[in-house]
Amino acid sequence: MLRATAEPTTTETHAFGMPLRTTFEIAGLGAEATAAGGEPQADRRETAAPSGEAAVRSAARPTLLEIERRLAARPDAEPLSVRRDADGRRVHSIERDADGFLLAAAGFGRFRVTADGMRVACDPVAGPAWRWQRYLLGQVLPFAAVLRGLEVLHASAVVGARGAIALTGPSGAGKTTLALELVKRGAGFLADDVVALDSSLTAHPAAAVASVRHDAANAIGGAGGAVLGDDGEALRLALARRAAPAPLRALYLLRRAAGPPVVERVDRVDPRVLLGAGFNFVLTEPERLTRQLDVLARLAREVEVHTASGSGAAELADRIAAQERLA
Amino acid sequence: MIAPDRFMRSTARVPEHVVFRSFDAETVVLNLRTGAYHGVDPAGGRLLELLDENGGAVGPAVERLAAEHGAAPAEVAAGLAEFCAELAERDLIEIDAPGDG
Repeated sequence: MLRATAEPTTTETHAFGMPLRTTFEIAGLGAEATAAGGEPQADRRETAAPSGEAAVRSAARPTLLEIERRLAARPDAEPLSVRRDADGRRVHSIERDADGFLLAAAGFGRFRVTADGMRVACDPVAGPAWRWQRYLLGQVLPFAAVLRGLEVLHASAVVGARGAIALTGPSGAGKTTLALELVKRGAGFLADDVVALDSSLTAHPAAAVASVRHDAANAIGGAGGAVLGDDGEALRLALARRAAPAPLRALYLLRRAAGPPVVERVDRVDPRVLLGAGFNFVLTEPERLTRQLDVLARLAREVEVHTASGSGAAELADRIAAQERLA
Repeated sequence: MIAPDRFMRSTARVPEHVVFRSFDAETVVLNLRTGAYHGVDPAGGRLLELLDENGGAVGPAVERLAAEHGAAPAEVAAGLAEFCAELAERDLIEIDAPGDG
């Protein structure tokens, strides 16, 4: 028998270029969703009709049967990506079926995204919200953003005097640390680890949270905000959020290297590098791949690209801050 | 490979399942059917642009490309014919060459 439930309270916010309406609190996404100086920009224009909003609803409200029915893998599911651990256990998977996509990650839960990216249902594992929301914010919502026509880079991003600055590189290259060092030097925080771009190369804010290794967090000091949690490897920090999108002006390709900081302009960026900086390699529909290529070709023409290397994040941040004319 | 003189009288079109975008370093050609990316040098990328502009007519495209590089069309036709043959092998271009005689 279904339990009678009261209509859940909804919060309106935005992230990754998508207006969101959620039935539960998400750390790092404020309810006011206001940019400095007034109404959020493109997000509100995209919500001309209720159907223009993405609704993120917790599966905790409906009954267990409804949860299982909605979030169960369908028999017709096509696996798009499956990752297993050394013992062969599935740790992460993305499957497509008639209802959309089912993203599942061990330790985080299951998340269903409709085919149009407009609705997300969450069935998180038990535990503190900040922990499972790492996956919601770091994988599920960016996935929905791509379905909704944005492109997503594996990059952290801040905003300087000229516009958005994206910092890309392999995992462990120091994207988050460098971003927070730049925040200490006057930049506004935009995104950690994944940044959404629209076709005009506007970078959209993500949630104001970041995962920082313990040693880096100690070094960053005041740039970090409140500690939401600690998973043993990194701290989950809540930061001051810059809620307004900004045009992408510079892209820094981080390279791990010993020695003093070196920042160099790249005159002819290798398209393979840009393709490799993408975040989603699962969605390969022709329309999406064409759009991605369009965005990257435009980025190569219009955005200043630099390489950045060196062993000290603070020293590297000093160089970039000077170049970007941060306060 | 098509002989250069026949190549110059051919049409060559990028099929609908292929898109290409130019970057400074090279042109990326994407086969949407397979999801495979291919890189061609700037001259090859420019040829694709000229073919697109000239409705697939190879002769005018080669002549224009040759002029941009200060070369005679005959000097570059053989190399471009070979280039297009390679693209055709990868299902990235469709060549319609006239019959002999």
